[in-house]
Amino acid sequence: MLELKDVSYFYKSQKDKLILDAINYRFEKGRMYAILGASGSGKTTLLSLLAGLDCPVGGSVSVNGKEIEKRNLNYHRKNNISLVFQNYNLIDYLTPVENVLLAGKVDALALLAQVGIEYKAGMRNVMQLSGGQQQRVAIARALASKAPILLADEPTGNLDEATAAGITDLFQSLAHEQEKCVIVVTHSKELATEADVVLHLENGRIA
Amino acid sequence: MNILQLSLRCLCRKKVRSVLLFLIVFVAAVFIYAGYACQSASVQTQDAGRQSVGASFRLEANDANRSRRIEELAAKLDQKVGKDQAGSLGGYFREQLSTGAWFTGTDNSFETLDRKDIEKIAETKGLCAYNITTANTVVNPVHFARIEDKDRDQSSDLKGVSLRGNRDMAYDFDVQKGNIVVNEGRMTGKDDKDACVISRELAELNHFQVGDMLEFNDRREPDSSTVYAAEIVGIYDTIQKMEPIMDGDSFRSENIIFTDLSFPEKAEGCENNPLYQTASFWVENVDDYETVKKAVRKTNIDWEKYDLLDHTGMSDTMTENFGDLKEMSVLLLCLVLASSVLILLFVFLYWIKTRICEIGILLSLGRKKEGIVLQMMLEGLLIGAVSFLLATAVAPYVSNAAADYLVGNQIEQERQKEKLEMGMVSTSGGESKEEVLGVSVRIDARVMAFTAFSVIGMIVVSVGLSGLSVAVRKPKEILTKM
Repeated sequence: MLELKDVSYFYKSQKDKLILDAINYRFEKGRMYAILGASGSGKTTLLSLLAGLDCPVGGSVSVNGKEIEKRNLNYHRKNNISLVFQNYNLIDYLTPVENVLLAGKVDALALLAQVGIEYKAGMRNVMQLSGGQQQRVAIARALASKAPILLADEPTGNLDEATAAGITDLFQSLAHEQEKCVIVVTHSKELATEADVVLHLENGRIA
Repeated sequence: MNILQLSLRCLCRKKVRSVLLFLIVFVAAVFIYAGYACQSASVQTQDAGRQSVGASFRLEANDANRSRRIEELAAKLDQKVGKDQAGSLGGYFREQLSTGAWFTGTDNSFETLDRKDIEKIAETKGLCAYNITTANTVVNPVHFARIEDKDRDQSSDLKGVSLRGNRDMAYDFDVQKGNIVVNEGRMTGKDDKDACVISRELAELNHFQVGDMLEFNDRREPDSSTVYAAEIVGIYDTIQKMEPIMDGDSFRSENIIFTDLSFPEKAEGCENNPLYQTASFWVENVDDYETVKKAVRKTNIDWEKYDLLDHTGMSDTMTENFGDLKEMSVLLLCLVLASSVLILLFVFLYWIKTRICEIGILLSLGRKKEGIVLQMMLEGLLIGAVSFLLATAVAPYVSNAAADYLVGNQIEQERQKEKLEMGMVSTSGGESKEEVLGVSVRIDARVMAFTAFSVIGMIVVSVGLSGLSVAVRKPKEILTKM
């Protein structure tokens, strides 16, 4: 579904140091992937390339056989992927319902209910919600886009254990019940153990 | 959720930011209105000045030419009669006084404006009226008393009253400026002969009324010269005293008697030898002032003898000042626009910096950068619309206050200048005071359109420039700043 072909990446300021070195990998739908690696190993860079937020200096990223760069990165971000960040990244002047509606015309309340946010909380300002609730809103927004791929960057990094477990379960159900391809970049071994596939990123390569 | 819905929510829920932007745009819009008001005030005041006296030109003798002609005639007289010999030539004369000293002078024929030249100018297309005014001619009042200040030294006074002849008194400088008003009887006109208009004070002192006859003769030979009579056809009231051209009660405002054009020369004992001091020409359409002026300049007369002065109700300095004011207001407008764009640019740059998270989220949701910048532009324009409407509501008050202040300031400067120059330069009866009692600035559709476009322009330019900081960055760079 989502395929990396000889993907390489380096920063323009450090051209001699490859962050990603000719990575080849194919992500399939209905599975949950966890990408582990030390800080600076290129996890977030890889996620950026998968999300179409940046372009590889070598190789290509394809969705269903079509290179995302050739089509349009905006199109890719809008239709193929949905993103969840560590810091939730909700728009602070909108309610949870409105944040979800940013992703498209959907039944926002139903989506919020699906991730465990009740109606009353859904109508409050997002800044009045707890961290766990905010991350759930972010996931509901990701679901609203109906994209087949969900990319998450340290989604449980700021959450307590119980809340993190709830979010992990949610990712699992998205992969297994809704046939989404869930790719999670994380340091959390707890989260990684729940993933169907665990990828280790070392020296710019998948080990 | 479309960008309008998002913009409205942002503006309503980020109140501090919205109010700050509103205040900046509001103040800028008010300044633009005020700047525009100053510009129109200067134009309006100049136009009002022209309209109040009727846009006109004044023809006067050229001083430099006069001096040159005297020198030439003196030289010719020397050749004709010899040096240190009495004689006269072309209105210039030389005579020996009983004391033995030599006295040179000129008569009316030398000093007067040429009536033929005046009439040639008057035929210029675009002129609707003209007037000729004689010099203030001091004559002897035969059987009536003049107004006198007993506490004043009259030793150097000419012991008479001043006659000022006009082709049409309605066009006299002092009548035009509103310094005097004829409330009883009428003014003298071009068809009048031996008619006069006297001051209320003089009439009351001598118990004169309209229809009475006044008698005058040559002040130099009061006992023997021919007496000429003029009928009182009107009595004027003084609103503002006319400036005396010389010391002594002969020239005081109350003793000035307006007559038909040819009477002063007769009463002075110089019949058919008039002394026309000024001629004024009125432009039919004020807007054609400059065109008509050029046409007048083309009249085939000896222009070296004359000065053609703008006579718009304002002194040259004041005209210049109002010109400066217009330039200043343009400068003010440019400064306001430039500084507003600069301030707004910083505001929007700050705005983008504080909204980097929002921008990153929208980019990650597949929104285009142009759409995000467009959203900010829409927010700016919505605030701009509210600011513009409120600025328009207060604009009449602010603009009028600004225009009044600036125009008043210019007039005050002019007054100060006149005070400083008092006694340093000679003035004639034509130099009257112009009062500008406030300027009304109308906020019309043109001003509103200009301000609206300026506000839109400021916002579009500043958002556009600040939006470059979003446009040049990769989404990843923006997201890493989140």
